[in-house]
Amino acid sequence: MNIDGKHWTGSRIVGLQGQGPSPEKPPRRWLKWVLWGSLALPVVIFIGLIGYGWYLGHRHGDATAEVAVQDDKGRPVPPDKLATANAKLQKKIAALAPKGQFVVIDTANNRVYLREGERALREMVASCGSGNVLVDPVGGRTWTFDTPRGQFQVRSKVKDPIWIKPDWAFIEEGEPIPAKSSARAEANVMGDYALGIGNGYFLHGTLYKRLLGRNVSHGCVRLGDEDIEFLYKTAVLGTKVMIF
Amino acid sequence: MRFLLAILLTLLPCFATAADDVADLTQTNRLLQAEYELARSQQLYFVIDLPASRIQFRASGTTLAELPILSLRSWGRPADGIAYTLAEKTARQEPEREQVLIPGRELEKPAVPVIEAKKPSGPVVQALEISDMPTDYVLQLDDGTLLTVHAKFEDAGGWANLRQKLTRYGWFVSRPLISVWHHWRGGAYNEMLMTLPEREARMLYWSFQKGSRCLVRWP
Repeated sequence: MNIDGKHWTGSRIVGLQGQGPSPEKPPRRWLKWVLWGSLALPVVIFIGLIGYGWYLGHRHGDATAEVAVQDDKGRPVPPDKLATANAKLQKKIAALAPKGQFVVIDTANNRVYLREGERALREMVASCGSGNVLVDPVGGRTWTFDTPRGQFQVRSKVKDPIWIKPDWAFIEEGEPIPAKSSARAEANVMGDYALGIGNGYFLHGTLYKRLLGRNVSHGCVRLGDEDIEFLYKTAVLGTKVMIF
Repeated sequence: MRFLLAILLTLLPCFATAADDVADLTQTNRLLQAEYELARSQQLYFVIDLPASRIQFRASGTTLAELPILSLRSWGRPADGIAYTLAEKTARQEPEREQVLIPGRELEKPAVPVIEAKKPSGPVVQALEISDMPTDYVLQLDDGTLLTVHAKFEDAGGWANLRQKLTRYGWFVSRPLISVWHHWRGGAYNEMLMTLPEREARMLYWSFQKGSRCLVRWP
C-alpha cells in the first residue's frame, strides 16, 4: 500500500518489461474514513452515554420536594402557613423528649451518660455486650450476647443483687443445667447495685473492672462501683434508658 | 425595553430564592411529619442531614449522638420526607461474630481466629468491638438508594491518597453509566457518597442496623 514515488517508478519499469501496465490504484480515502469512524464512534457513544447519565443524575424534575404540601381539602398550603405548621411540628416533637434526667448508653464506645436535655451530667465507662454467639451443643439453642438497642426504662432497682444464672451461663461453663432453681443463685457477681431495664437485662456492678471500656458482657451493661452507686441513687423507677 | 429587561434580571434571583424557600419549607414539613411518627413510635432512628453535613442518632426527638460528614457527593435525588428503612449493609470485609468455646468441647472449625504476631496493648478480649467494624461500606435503603461511606484516615499515606483520587475519577465515569443502565431498566439510580472520620464511620456501621429507620434531608 506504499504509494510513494519510488514504488510507482518501479511499477512502470515492470510494465515496460512486458507484463502490461498495472491500473493506477486510487488512494483509498474512504477506508481511512471507515477506520477513523470505527475508532471514533465508540468514543462518541461513550461520551454521549456519560452526558446522558450526567443529565439523569442531576435532573431534579421528579423530586417530590417540588410538589407542594396540601391541606385537608387538597389545596396547596401557602408558605407562611407552612412555616407555622413546621414550628408546631417541631414543638410536638420536642414535647416527646424525656422529661428530667435520662440515661443514654453508647454500646460502641462503652459509655453511659446521665443526661438532662442536651446536657450530660455524668459520663461513665461501661462494658456492653460482646456480640459473641453461644450454641448449645445438646439442644441446639443459640444466644447472641448483644446489648439490646432502643428505648427502655428503669423497671427495678436492687441493692446487693443476686444473679439467677440463666441456662447459657451453665452451658458456657460446660456445666449441667441444674434442676433446682435455688442452684442458680449466685451472690457477689453483679456488684452492689443493679437497675433492671426489662427482658433480663440490667445495669450493674462488676468484678472485672479491668475490662471496663471493652465489650465483654453477655448483654447487660457493667459499670464501676462508684458509677453504679451514683446511678442507683439518681435514677428513679421509670427513668428512660436509651441505648444505641 | 432595556429598562424592563434590567428589572426582570434584577428580580430573577428573588423569584429563585422564594422558590427555594418554598421547596425548603416543603421538605422540612415532610421530614418533620415523618420524624413525629418515628419519635412517637419509641424506636431509635437516624437523621442524615446532608446539607448540614451531619448524621444524628435520635430517639423520641432527642439527639443521642451526632457524627460529622467531612465531605459529600450526591448522585440523583430520591423522594424526601419519607422514613426509609435500612435494607442492606455491605462491606468488603464484614465483621464476623465469634462463637464461644465451651470447655471440654471442640468445634469443627476453630472459633477463635489465629492470634496475629502483633500484640494488642490491652487485655485480649474475644468480642465484636468497634475496631472490628469496616470503614468503607454501602448502606442500601429500602427504595434502592445507596449511601456509600468512606472513612478518612488521619495518617493516610501515599497509597491511600492515590486510591482516593482514583475513586473520585472513577465516580465521574461510572455513575453516569450506571444511571443510564438503571434508566433503561425503568428505574432511577440514587447514591450519596459520604466521607466520615474513621471512628465515626465505624460507629455508624455499628449502630445503624438492618431494619433501622432513617430520615434523609437531601441537598
